Amino acid sequence: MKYKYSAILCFFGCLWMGNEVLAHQVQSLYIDTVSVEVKGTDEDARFEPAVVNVSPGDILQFVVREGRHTVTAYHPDNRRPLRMPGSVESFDSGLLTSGDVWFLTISHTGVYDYYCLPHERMGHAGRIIAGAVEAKPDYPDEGIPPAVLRILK
Amino acid sequence: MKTLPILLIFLFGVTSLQAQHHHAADNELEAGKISAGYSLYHLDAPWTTHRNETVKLSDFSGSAVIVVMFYGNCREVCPVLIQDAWRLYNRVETSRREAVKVLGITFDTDNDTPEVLRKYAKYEQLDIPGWHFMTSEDATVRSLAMMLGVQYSKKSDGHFAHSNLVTVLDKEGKIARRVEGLNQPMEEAAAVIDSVVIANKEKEQ
Repeated sequence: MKYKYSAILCFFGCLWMGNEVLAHQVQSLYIDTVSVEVKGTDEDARFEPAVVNVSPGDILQFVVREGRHTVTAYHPDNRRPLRMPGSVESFDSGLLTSGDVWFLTISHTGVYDYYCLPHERMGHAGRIIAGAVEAKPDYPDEGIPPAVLRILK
Repeated sequence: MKTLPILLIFLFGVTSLQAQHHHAADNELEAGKISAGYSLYHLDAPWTTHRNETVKLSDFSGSAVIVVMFYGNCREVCPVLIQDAWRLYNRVETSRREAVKVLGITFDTDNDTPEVLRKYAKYEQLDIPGWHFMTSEDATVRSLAMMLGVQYSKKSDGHFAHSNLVTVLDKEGKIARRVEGLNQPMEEAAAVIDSVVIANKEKEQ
């Protein structure tokens, strides 16, 4: 009798563990790591690609190829107008130098605009479109350099 | 024969990396030593703010003060340095921020006129109460830099090599905390500001 209960427990235990592993594997299957290269210096500074499409849950990796840059959200926390979903926390990579890789996980659907603190005036900015975004966001242009607006539009 | 091109590519790679490293290092100077316990408010020279007001450092006496030295044309670290000062300011509890002043001192006295600083403050969305971007005579800026331990030197391309330093002054203008380097944690410096503000409020009551 004792062995019978143990066998049942063991069976359900294995079933549960199997499910956990399977769930993890399924989740991993649907999470992508999307790479954005950070290149150039001064007027030549740029994110490549400047606009990326991802799915919520995806991880973005910013790979700095040259120069010194940041990946900074258009968000009042960074003294800029809000140009990302309001419910999401702001982000700022801090200064990154050649060879650095910085990761950002995008969890919510929406359009996220970001810029490089040292090179914003030169149009060093980018956009992340996460999930199915039906309409273009009506983000404010005030306080955004024209060079950045050209990239984001 | 095949090893020669490989060797050349390797040497080129190493030289490029070294050049890049030197380029970054050229722009950064280590912060110098300071004489602790000496008030910066003894520096009795006039400054002009981005609002075109003439002030003396001693006008800020009684407040917790954040000082950051920078220059407006910087396309590398100064925007990050200003962001660091902003992060520190932002860490102070909202109700106490009113009692905190931030001084952005330019060492580019040729280019950063009050009008240029006004545009800079506006662009950085820091034309807000409590924030003052200031310039003065070369010698005055140099004297303040020495007291803060900020080293800077103008390069042939018009840019500056400089220390990256955010300094907190107590109500008497003495250095209470220095945060050297970029992207540093600001909790301890914010705690120092809090204690200065709280002590001032208690004294007033």
